[in-house]
Amino acid sequence: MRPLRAVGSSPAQMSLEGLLTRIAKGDQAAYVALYDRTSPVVYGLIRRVLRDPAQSEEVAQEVLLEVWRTATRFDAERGSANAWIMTMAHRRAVDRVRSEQAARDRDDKVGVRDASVGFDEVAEEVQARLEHQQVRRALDQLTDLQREAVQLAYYGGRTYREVAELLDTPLGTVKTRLRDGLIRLRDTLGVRS
Amino acid sequence: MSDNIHLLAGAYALDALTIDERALYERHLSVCEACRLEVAEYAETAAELGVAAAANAPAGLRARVLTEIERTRQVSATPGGPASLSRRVQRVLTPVAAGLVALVIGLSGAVAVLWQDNQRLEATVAEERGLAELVAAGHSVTMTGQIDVPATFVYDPDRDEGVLVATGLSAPAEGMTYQLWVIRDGQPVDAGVFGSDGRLATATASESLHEAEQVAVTMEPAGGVDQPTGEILLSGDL
Ligand SMILES: [Zn+2]
Repeated sequence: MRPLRAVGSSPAQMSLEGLLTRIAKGDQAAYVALYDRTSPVVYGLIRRVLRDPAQSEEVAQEVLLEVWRTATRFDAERGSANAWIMTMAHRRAVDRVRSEQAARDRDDKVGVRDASVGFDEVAEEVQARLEHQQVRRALDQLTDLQREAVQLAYYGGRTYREVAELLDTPLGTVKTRLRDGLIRLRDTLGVRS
Repeated sequence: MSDNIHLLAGAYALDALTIDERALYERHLSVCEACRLEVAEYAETAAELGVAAAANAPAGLRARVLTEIERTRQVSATPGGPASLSRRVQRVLTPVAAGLVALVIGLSGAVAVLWQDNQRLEATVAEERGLAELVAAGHSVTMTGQIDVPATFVYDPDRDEGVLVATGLSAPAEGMTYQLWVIRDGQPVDAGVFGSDGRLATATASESLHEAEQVAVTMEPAGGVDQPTGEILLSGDL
């Protein structure tokens, strides 16, 4: 018996990039395959940043719909599908955190979140819930300052100004640590660019 | 920040810039190939951090999303080019940059205050001179319609760039967004979605203005739509 479909053409076997190309042409079956593969990471990341499950679900829905809506604009030459989707998810989550924060600031005029609480919460969550051994090991390769800064920014949704304040470190140093932290992570993880 | 804006690539890739800084840096990205490459690389690394946070999505989400896509139209693909990175994120200019525009086109008091608030970023704004040049190019159209707020569309046909600036535009209704349209041959083309904080709203057209006869604004479901469904709230002839 010959297979009915050529190898690689079944949505379950296709790369995310291949799926996005099909989705861009309105292929709903391809979208279902992409949903099943990416919704755990999209939701998980948003949940990590936002923490509130209801809000996380709302933002995840927006992002997953946005993937459908704008698949036509994905350009594989500019980066992977995974990065395209995760960038969108992270940006939306962070923007939501910031607008919530702005609303709270208007209410109670407390400009900066409590430093000790903020850092411990994030660090604990990250340590407790990082499933990916490889990423955890890569984070372990960073200096303490690099790791704390990257985690507060990425998982905590903080601006580098907030990170500087929380870690009691000059702005310029934080800016540089975020950048060289990423470079070290990239080298350790061996991520293709 | 103005002397070493390239160093912000890491903070940008981690979304650790404020909204103001992000917009300025994206303006820089549109002219700096080195930073674009760097950011693309960091985005891959950051995505790995994101993947490590995987969790089971709530059961009901799948059915809702799959139902939604049935009635969500996809946007048309836009041509690539250096500006498409910022197009992709549908850049909304910041009060800093908008303050500059508004000041130049003379939109009065409240905006002047904003300008002062943000004067510390003046050097960077001046360095990232794009917007000032846009204003200097001198084409501006008053937008009018159902909403009675001062609104201007500033554009430069040569650079094919345009920015909408509206003061006092109320925030869009819950679950809704404003959407900018470029009308060409009588057909509206999606030029990006934007919000408003009730004081000052700005939106950079993500669609080419070539041979466009009009720009218009409608209110649409969050995320925007492929063709306008709402009434025209503001419009102006180019
Ligand atoms: Zn640069």
